[in-house]
Amino acid sequence: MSKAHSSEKGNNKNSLYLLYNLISKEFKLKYRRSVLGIAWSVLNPLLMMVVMALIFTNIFRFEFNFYPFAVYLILGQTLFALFQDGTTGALNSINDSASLIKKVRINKIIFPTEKVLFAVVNFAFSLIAVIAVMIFFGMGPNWQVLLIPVLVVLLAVFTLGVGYLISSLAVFFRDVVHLWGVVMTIWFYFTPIFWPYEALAATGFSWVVTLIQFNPMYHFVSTFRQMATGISLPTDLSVMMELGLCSIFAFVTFAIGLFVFKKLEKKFILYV
Amino acid sequence: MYDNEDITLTPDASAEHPVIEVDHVSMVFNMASERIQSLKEYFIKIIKRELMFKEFVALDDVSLTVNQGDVFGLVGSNGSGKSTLLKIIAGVLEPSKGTCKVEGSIAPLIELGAGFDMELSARENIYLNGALLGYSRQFINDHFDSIVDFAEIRDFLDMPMKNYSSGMVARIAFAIATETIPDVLIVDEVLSVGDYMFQEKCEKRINALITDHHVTVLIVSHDGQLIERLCNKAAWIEKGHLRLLGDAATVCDAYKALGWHLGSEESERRVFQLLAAEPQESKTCKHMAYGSGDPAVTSLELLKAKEPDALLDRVVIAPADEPATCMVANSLCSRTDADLLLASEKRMPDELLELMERASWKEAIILGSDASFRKSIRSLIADASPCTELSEIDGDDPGMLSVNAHFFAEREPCDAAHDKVIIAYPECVPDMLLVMPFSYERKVPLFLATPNEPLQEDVLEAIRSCHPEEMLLLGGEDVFPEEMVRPLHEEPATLTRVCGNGVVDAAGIIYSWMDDNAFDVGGEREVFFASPWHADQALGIGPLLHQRGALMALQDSRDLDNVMGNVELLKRYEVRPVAFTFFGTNEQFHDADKRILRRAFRDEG
Repeated sequence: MSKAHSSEKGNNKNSLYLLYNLISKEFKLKYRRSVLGIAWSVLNPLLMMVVMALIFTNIFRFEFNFYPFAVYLILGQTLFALFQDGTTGALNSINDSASLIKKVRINKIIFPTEKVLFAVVNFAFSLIAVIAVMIFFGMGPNWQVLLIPVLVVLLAVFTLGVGYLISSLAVFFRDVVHLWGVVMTIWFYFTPIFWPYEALAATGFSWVVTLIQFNPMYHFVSTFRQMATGISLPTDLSVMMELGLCSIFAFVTFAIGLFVFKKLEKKFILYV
Repeated sequence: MYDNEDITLTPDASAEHPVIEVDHVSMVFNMASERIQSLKEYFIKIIKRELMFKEFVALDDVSLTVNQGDVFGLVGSNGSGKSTLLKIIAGVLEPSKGTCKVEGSIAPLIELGAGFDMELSARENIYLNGALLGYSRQFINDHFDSIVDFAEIRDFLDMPMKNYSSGMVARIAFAIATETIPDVLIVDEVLSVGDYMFQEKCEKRINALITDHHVTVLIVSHDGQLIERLCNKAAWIEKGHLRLLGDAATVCDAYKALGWHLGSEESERRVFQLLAAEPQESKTCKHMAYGSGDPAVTSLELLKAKEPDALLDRVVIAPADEPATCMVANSLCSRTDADLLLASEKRMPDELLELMERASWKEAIILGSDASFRKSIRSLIADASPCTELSEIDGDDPGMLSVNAHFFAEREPCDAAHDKVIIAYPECVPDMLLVMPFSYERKVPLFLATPNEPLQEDVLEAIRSCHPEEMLLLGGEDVFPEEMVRPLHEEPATLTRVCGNGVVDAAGIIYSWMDDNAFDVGGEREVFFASPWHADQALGIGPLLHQRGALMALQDSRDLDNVMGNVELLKRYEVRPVAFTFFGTNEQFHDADKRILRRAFRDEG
């Protein structure tokens, strides 16, 4: 027998190792005993895109001539899925880990963090589908692709912030769990994913147009699309400005979420 | 609540280095939090001002110190708060009040297998659980084999753990958790899971940690024996407060003895103060116990202990398994100056025969409604001492038996006037015992009546023939309803009902009645104790009670209010006990109970 750990530094290192462990556990469990397994991480976004592409290019048609609409769709969709899955996963993370929290002294922030990071990993896999679609439509990479990791990191930070907030609130008010589904649906519609922002700008609802500018996901998604395709839409701001804006959203939300989480952390065990 | 000084048994060894310091910790759980789970409810409650809650105090001002190298036990019944205290020490829970400081790393074994995911295999879970406990990957790699070997699961490493038996799960969890050398090891009732071999293994490993590495261990259990075996110091926590603190042997002994003994806070406090007091050789208060559990054996012992010349000419023999008959026998003994022998038809030991030969009573009165019992005793005496004159008293029912016994006693001229008469029902042994010092001394006739039935004519006649001044009715409305006892009201004698609300209350009423009737309850005397639930243990004590001039008391040791209530009652009547005699097994009167009584009266005399 020997001493396994003692220092603070060791503690952080251990937290990372624990995080890694929890994520890999979730991964193993997610696709255990499914035939296609990990392929689903790629197939899922692909199939969603196909369905949406069929509907929105053939049935409900939008005016979009800049590049293949399918690419527009899949780019927005996969990035939003990162946010959606990350937050939805984080939402119940504390509640689900009740038994653990009540028995082991553990840094509770690990639970929502793990769910968000898991969503990031899934996103990475879904990029395979994205690349496949882009190649299919003959769209090649450009230098801005190198900035994508930065954006993903910023979105992760943003998702973490939201995740911390809702996961801590969900311990005390279960309604948050039910509400969040609705919030996500509204947010999805409110973000130009399956409809082009241009179309809205063309109509007269100028107050909606302005309101959407305050939707952080709009900026994340449109920046992602810009970086991936290399094509800037007329309503887009410059990539650098967008990145700056996204950073502000990300860090402010993170700060708020972290603050609330830390404040409420000690009471979890009493309510969970 | 009360200071630690009251209940600490050993002085704090301050030379030691404290590793865990629990300082006036209180934990209050908010009951309402269980119910508000939605925003709507929350806002409604705020508006209705119902947000202030019902609180549940899980821990109430608990303080203790664990020094380095101690093996500290926490005992208490389920729901006492010991697991809550453990969680506070382990850092899982924050106390509502007070602080808890722990020096060094903690390895908690609180419900093994926290963090196991049953879908994963053992191999994966070892890494996962290890990470949860704070181990690095390198450490787990290095110790993987040793963990697997301790848990004996090498063959099952890659199966999902949901297929494992609970014993295997416990073994793996224990192995992982104890692979490291923590500064503090906290064990919470985990050893109760798993079979004997597993428990042995665990104990061995814990012992290895203690002796080889001087790890401080904190063990929580409701198994007093385990704590006694493993620990050097212990604390007993009950209902959130600290009952007793000190070395393991004493605390566990008290816990075993008094574990289920409950009472009001006040009674608890006094009892434990008495227990924790300094042991002194008590000059005057001795104690004796007749703990065979069998009234026939006790009766035999009592008679055997008598000097041959102290044996009387007469003996009354009654069946040990009929409490009512024995009570009548006691009354008969008092009136005919006889010894009392309780015998059981099923068990006639040789000693009984020997006793009969040695005693060579001139007259033997056999009491009992069962003919075969009388026959067996008759033949026994015929064998043992043929010269003894035999008489038999029987009766179809308890009432008739008591009447026949009365008239038998009346055959001899009696010097005591029958100004009192006692009427009781067959199950009323406790009350009859309480009044026995009086009834034996004054040779009071005893009549039995069946509950909830009208009094028999014969019994009524017999009572009338005594021309009593007072009739003592032992039983309340539920046993002797007014309609049934109406004939008694028509008698010239006064009817006094004795019905107490509990043991101490009944004793109080009876002592007060005896006192009113010129019977000295107080003074220096012996006190006999029996349990109200096992009153049959004291069935044969009449003659002894009278010979020693003792007072009778009833104690249900599990009810601390009863215990302290008796003490108070005896003190109120200025009883100064010179000796205590207990009629009951160790279960009814444990060493700790006897100690409590001795110490309660220590200041007297």
